[in-house]
Amino acid sequence: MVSAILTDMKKILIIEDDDFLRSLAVTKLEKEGFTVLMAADGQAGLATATAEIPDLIILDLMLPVMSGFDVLKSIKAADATKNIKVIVFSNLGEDSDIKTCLDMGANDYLIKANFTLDELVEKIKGMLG
Amino acid sequence: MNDRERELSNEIVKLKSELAEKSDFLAMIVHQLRTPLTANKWIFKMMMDGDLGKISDEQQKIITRGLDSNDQMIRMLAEISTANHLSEWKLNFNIEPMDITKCIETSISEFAPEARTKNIHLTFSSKEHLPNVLADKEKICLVVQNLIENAIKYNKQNGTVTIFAEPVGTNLVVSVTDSGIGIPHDEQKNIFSKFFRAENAKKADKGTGLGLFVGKTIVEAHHGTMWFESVPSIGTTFFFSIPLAK
Repeated sequence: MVSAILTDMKKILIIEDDDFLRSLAVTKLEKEGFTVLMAADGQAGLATATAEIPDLIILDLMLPVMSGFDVLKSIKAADATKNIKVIVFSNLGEDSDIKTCLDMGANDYLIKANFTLDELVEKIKGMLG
Repeated sequence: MNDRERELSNEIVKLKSELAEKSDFLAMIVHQLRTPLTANKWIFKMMMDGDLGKISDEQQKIITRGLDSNDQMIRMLAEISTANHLSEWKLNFNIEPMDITKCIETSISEFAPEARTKNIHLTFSSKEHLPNVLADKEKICLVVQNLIENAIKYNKQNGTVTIFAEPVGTNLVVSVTDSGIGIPHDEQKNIFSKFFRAENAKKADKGTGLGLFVGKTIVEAHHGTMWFESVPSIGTTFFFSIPLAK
């Protein structure tokens, strides 16, 4: 019940091109009571972020059409979207990638393979709590 | 610059470029392999948590083994990725005061299921509340995880793994002691070499032969040292020291 109250009305946008990973993440987040939006490429993700202004974005980096780096840059550059919290959730684990994203304004950077969806949910709740 | 020097200089540029290409290729492979392993990890965990329907105790045990094996592959990829950067001296260290106790405790809970499969008793003790160390949290935790993983992997059924930490002078010394197969005397000198695996280790379990090489390099980058004492068939203790935060 506490979980439902905390997550009530919170809107999460997942920008992830891998269909299977995206569907697992959507299943988990909806089960936790979040309203979940999704996009399979960077351009569609940016458009959804601008139109819907979610509370938080889960952003992959290696995306078709427009990379996650460019999505992050655009989100942080526009007044309407710059305050949306962004968790970069990628399997790129290079120190330089992590630094670049944090310098661009990402709120956190998680390497997907090192986290379960439970841990992702905890991070989201901590950030939106 | 004479002709010979120019030729050598061109050769160096060419070799550096080839090395960078290989490194990028390896980074790409690591990234590609992580994606299906991520999917496995999430599915196993969701099954274990009952998110995909109720499962029996027997199924729970099997899925736990699947998750452990998958996590082992993820750690192997992390080792390969770190070794790739170490060889290029490209690795950046974010050194700051950190609490190593948390890192050791997290690693222990992470490896507890694996220890249980061999009925290994896994413990951590320290003489006092440990002061902070100056370290890159992520990389030192990789060293701790690797030592604990090895201590379980090369241990015997019903064995023990004891982690101990204490301040010694201006350093913190951490030790991981197992009651495992030990390192044969004639192979001890090679144990920190890249890709080296002792003959008895090859028979015991799979591995990349990179963990100890990576661990020692990381510890030395912190101005610390790593060493070991081992008696074949009795067990091994690996030690590392890193500076305490002022």
